Amino acid sequence: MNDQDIVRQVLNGNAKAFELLVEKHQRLVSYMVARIVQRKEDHEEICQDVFMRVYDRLDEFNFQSKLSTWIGTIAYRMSLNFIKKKDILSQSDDELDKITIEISSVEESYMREDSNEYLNRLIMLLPVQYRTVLTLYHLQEMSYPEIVEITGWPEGTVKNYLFRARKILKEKLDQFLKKEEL
Amino acid sequence: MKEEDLNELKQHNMIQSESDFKMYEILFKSLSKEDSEVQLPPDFRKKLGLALIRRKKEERFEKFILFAGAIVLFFVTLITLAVFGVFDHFSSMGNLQWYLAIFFALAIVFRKIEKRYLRTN
Repeated sequence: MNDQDIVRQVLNGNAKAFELLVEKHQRLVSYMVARIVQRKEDHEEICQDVFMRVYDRLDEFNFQSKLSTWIGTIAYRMSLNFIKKKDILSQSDDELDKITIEISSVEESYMREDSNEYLNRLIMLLPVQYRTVLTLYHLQEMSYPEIVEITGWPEGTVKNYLFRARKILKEKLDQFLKKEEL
Repeated sequence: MKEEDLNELKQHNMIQSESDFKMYEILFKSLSKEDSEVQLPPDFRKKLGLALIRRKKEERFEKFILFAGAIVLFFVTLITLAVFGVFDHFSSMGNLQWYLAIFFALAIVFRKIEKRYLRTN
């Protein structure tokens, strides 16, 4: 069943179709929420709220974009609203430059883990903008236009965040692997 | 790492040595790996289904309360009008017109409430 069929079936009240929709997109929602919100205790609840919003607003989906992009946008906005409410504000561009120092101060505690575990923890220490683009590009394999649609940032900004995030991670991973070798 | 990713990295001078290339390759591989801590529990869909059913029930109950309230209001006003009408003996055409005007205003308000809050389709 393609996205159009699923949406039509859900709008006709088919519960199984909605279950299928959730199954197809729960990975996307789960990662989006987890990488933005971070607090494990809120993760499942926000994911549930996202899918409820999807259910409520599915009649507004006009097939001008992919269903995954539309659901990703909802997940992104709801997660951002959540952290704004909790006062965990995202950093501005100027503050993003300081991020290397912040990571350096905590990295020692994770030195005994394997590189993947270490990398996942490093990602969680990055600013929300970086975490978002890394998740959408690498894990969800979304294109730049799709990320632009979800986040509302210009393509140049998306690329900039992606490159800066990768650069920080690459440097840290490099140091980590060198220390491992010693 | 895809060809276009590699080209982009080269364009941005991110790859200046063989070790940079290797490190980015490791990084790209790691970034696309699943993080087990991010997975939703296996019963997530079941819980979501139950939450949707619970919410539907709550909505139905709220609609029922609103509908019952509107019905009560409608009939109380109608009975009050009728009682006043009986006592007044519908004595003059002027008064009867007022009764009719109030009755129709009430019917319009009721219809609006029904359309705005109670209609399901």
